[in-house]
Amino acid sequence: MANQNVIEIENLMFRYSNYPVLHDVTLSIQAGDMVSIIGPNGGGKTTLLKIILGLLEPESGKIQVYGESPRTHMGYLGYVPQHSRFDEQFPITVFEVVLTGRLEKRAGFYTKQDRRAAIEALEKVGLSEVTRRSFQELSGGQRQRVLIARALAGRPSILLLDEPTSNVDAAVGSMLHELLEELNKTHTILLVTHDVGFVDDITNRVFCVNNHVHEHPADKLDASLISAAYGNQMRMVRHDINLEKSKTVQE
Amino acid sequence: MLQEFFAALADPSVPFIRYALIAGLLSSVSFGIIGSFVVVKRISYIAGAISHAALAGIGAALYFKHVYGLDFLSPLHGAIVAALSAALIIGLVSTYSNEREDTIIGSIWAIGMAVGLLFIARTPGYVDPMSYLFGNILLVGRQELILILVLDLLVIVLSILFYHQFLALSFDEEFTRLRGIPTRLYYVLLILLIAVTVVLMVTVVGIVMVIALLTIPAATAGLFSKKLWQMMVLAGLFCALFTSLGLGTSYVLDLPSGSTTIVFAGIVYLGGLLFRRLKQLT
Repeated sequence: MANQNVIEIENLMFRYSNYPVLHDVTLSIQAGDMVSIIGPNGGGKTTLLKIILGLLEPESGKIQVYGESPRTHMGYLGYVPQHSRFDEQFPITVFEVVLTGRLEKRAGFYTKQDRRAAIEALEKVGLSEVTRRSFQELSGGQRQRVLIARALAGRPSILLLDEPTSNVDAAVGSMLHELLEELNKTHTILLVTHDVGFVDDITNRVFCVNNHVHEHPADKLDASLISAAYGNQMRMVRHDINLEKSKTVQE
Repeated sequence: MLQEFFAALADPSVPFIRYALIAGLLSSVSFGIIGSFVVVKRISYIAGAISHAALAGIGAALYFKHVYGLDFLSPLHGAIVAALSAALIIGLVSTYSNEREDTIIGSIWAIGMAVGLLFIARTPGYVDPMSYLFGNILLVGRQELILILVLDLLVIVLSILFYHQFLALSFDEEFTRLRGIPTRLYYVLLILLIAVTVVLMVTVVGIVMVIALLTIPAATAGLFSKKLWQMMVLAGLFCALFTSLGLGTSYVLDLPSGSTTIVFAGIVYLGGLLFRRLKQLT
């Protein structure tokens, strides 16, 4: 299992009508990796994720998940979309959302195993208490964990998360961070994020997607990484120094 | 006052009131189920286009019946064919083509009505289009009732069989597709079921007001439901209540039944909204 290439991409190209999004992408991801995919908006992060998921077909190049086309292995991939894109008024409970992670092609009802898998998944993300609650009543961070549980319910070996920390506060962000670290012991994880700071210390690899894909070393967070992620027209805000306090100290 | 209505229900010389009530109660089950899908998936404009396009079939059925003496044809038959065709076109266009979906829907809406009125204009004898636009319970015969029952059962069975697929599709289409579910196929199936459902009540409330009866009970139920199936049950009960109240009141006060039904539905929905608002404030 160790060092096995679970995802392999070679010379991949993708375009939306006339607008090329991904150009000559080559990368491979090994079992147990915690990969961050960063890059500016419009750079193709989400597109890359959707190609790996099999939702989009590349124009040319090779994409393989466990040595085969992503579509044949949809069950290996657990997708966690952004929680903020859901309908606020949809009448559905937490348990029902997680059960959709067990949905099958055949008509009919969920089995006992399906229910057990959903309960286990909710335990893993620490939401056993809100199982019967309505999805709409939950906070952003709880909803994000419900969506992680939904992906886990399908027992995937790779988790793909699209900006899991968008629209949640810092405390929730660090809790998600711990959860992902825990899940990484059993799952290969791909995170799409523009939040470089958040994933840095749990990530072992960073890919920057900006039409091309480059791998960066994940061990140091410095100015070049930030400018690669956000572009060059940026200044960094030093939250570690409080100007008002330092002024009064000088006085 | 109500006794008058119950007496009419029992009176064998006026079977149409009984038929209309039975048609309303039967269809309410489908309206609760499909109406809830329409409301949570936010596609009531698609239901609107399908129901209006049904007029093309109604007009065509009337025309062929009178001009070619096809006595077995009922306007309901035409409505089913037209509604299913409109649904198929909308479903396929919105899933497989790059055309602007709302433009197609608007066109089908208007073209359907235009074709229907042209057929009616060319049908010998006098046909009042108002009956079909706003409903006329005199149009519900024994034969129609049997057809309504069969279609109603079809909708109920299919929605129960594919409940989880439809629920998942409405909640998160992308994720559902990742589970290997052919979501486009299910979406087209859902729209076809909407078409069948709409036809059930065309004779009772008319094609213009049928979408109100599809969406208002579901929207009202949605105010009080945590789960989709609860919303469906509640919507079905609301729908049955509105049609019975509408029918009874319209009979006693000699008013158009469709309009009376919709006004009742509207009042309860506004009341429900107000109730929830007050509950949120306190």
